[in-house]
Amino acid sequence: MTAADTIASFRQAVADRYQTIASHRRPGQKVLGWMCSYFPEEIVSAAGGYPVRVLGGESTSYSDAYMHINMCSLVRAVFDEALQGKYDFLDGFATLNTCDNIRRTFDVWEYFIKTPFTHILALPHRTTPASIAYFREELGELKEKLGQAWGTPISDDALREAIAQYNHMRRLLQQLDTMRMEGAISGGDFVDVVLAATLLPKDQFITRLQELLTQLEGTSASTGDRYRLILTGSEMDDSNFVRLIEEKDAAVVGDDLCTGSKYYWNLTDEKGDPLLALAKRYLSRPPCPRMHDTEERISHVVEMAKSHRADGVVVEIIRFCKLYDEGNIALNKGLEKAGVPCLTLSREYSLTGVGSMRTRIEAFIEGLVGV
Amino acid sequence: MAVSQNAAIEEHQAIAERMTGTLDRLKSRGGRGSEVHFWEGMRNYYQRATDAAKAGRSVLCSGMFVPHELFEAMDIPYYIAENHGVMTFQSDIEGGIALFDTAERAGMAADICSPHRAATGLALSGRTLQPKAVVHTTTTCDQTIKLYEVLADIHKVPNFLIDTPYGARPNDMAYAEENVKELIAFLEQQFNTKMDPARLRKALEISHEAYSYWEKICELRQAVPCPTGGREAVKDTTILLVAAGRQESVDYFKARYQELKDKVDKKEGIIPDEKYRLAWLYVLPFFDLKMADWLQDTYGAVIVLDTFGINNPEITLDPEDPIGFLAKKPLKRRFTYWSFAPSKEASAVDDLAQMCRDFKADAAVLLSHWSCQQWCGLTQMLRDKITKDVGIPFLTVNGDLLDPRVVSSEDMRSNLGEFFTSVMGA
Repeated sequence: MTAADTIASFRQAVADRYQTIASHRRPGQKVLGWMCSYFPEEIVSAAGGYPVRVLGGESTSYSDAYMHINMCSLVRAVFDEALQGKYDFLDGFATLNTCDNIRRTFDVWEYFIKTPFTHILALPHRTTPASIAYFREELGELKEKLGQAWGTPISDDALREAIAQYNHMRRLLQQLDTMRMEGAISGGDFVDVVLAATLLPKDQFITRLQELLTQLEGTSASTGDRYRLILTGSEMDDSNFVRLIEEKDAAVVGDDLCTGSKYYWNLTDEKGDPLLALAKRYLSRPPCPRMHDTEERISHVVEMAKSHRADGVVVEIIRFCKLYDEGNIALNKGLEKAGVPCLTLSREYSLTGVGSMRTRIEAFIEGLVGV
Repeated sequence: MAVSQNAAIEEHQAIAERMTGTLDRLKSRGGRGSEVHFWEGMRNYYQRATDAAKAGRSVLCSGMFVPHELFEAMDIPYYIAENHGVMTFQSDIEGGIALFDTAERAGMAADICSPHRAATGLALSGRTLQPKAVVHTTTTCDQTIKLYEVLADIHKVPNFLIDTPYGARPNDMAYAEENVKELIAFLEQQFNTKMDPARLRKALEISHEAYSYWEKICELRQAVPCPTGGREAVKDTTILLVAAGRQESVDYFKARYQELKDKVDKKEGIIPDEKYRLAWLYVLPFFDLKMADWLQDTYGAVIVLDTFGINNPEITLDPEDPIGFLAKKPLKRRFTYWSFAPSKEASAVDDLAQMCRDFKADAAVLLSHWSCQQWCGLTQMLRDKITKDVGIPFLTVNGDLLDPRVVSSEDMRSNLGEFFTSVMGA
């Protein structure tokens, strides 16, 4: 197999995600759907379950009757899939109070969909010793409830084993990230790989990712004369959007996305109390604007732009994603201060308005010529 | 873009003087006691902050659901940016729309909550007092959190976020208390003052008395006919924001309670012929509070229940546990609890359905404020529960709290009118 074949297999796993999950689920294995990358999948894996990221489809025609159109199209697209019965196979659904859109999605999911196990975690907005201790208790509650619901108490050893496996996966993704920075894999293909990590069983994903890393090793690719861009913004699970950016003279060489680098940026301490280690890991990963520490987010993006030798930053915001909308004011100022050109694109969850989006991207890239 | 701080002080002084004028007129006409106390509370709130700024003292920019009693106990003059935005807009709608433009030019999306865009426009135009610090809570919504971060950035001052937990279980409340303790330390440092426990206790006792009267007023609103309407109830909430822990709030509620009790005893309603009792499941549009009068005059429909103006009897004061009270208040205030907490835990849908029964509502209306996701996300759950379990009609009215360009008053009224004629048989 070539790297292109392996990447295509990841893309296929994402495109046919329901089939992917059905074919990889072990007999009797519980499947839990999660939203938001602050969700600690490790706990589900430690319970012997199969955690999968819940994604939306193309349509919102059913969910529009349940949720006002001022809810972001991501959650409406996700809930639409649930209303169509596509998530009926789930044994559990869990998320966090990440944003108003997600927490209300949890509420309507719990009310109308009736998945056997549901849980919402309270995620603090600040990272302090008190908030870490509080989040540790939250994780403890999830561990207890999930263990009870599935009849498989979760031991600390099982948690440590899961943490070690996720750390291994994250290290491999970090290696792939470095390869993306060097141009060995495109930004669009990279999205498919990371998304596949959230849909395939972790052991199988790791095996395939190791193959890909071997296949890409020594590839003498480079981004050449293309403009090097960093992508940040709302939940982005459509690799075609990234390909649209990369269509002409541009390469997405890094990202600050919850479907990208935030998923693997930092590791979990494998020693000591596993729940405390998880609480620390999730609360100290690069923050999204939902977290209070705006300065940290800005400096993270600015630093990434520098370390990735980026020519500019593209911020994509799903309409009605208020956190990214309001958080973008400070980010724009921070990037301007650092001398990093920035383009903000408002979009819907499904890729629409391609023509006008393409024009804006091209204009931005042309504007970089003189920078 | 920014004008000098003197201009902001002059504008605030002018607001306080306008309120003094309102007060004088009310007094000369023998206005209701509650009205007089309300405007006294409002005027004093503006005057305190203005006087402090004039004297070079530090003022605080605060969120709506922060426990303001703490500021009273620490003698820190404050203003609430969202309220100031709403009030400024109400007094000059055309000028208010220009504030939206100012905020949007600075990068704020047009879909962001209109009171927030107004507050941002005011700050960017130098029309708010320069604060020493900003304090806010995670309640009620995402946009509130970000608004005060934006304001702190505009004013270039530190901000403190009370990380109100997502629930009210014992561990949640313990974390909330930690946050309150951190807030006190932050204020002590920023304002170079010490929190006086005796003064805090006094402020909380006053606040508790005000809340107790509010609870009684909420009970009186269940009477048939209803002695007061939705427009008047806006003042109940407002006074608790601007005069928390101050005697004006108790004076207002005491007078209002007596006025309403007299009416209930005489079986007098706010209108002579109450035909319909409405549960208004959000806040009235601030740019057209007269919509409540129009409903009364046109259809005999009285707003007997509104989610903004309802107390939560669970906010009780244990004199031995002032921190516990301060921690509980931002979360357990009814509007914030329903808006912010998990709907199942907060019983938002069940509670509202029960309240529709308790208040003998004939219909429920949800104003879908264009940018309010925590309530708009509940639309179908509320409709389902209220139509099926309570058995009364439910209407969703699209609109906005401040921005009349989203849906005009005329369109909102037309929507309501069709509902009354076709569904309610008016």
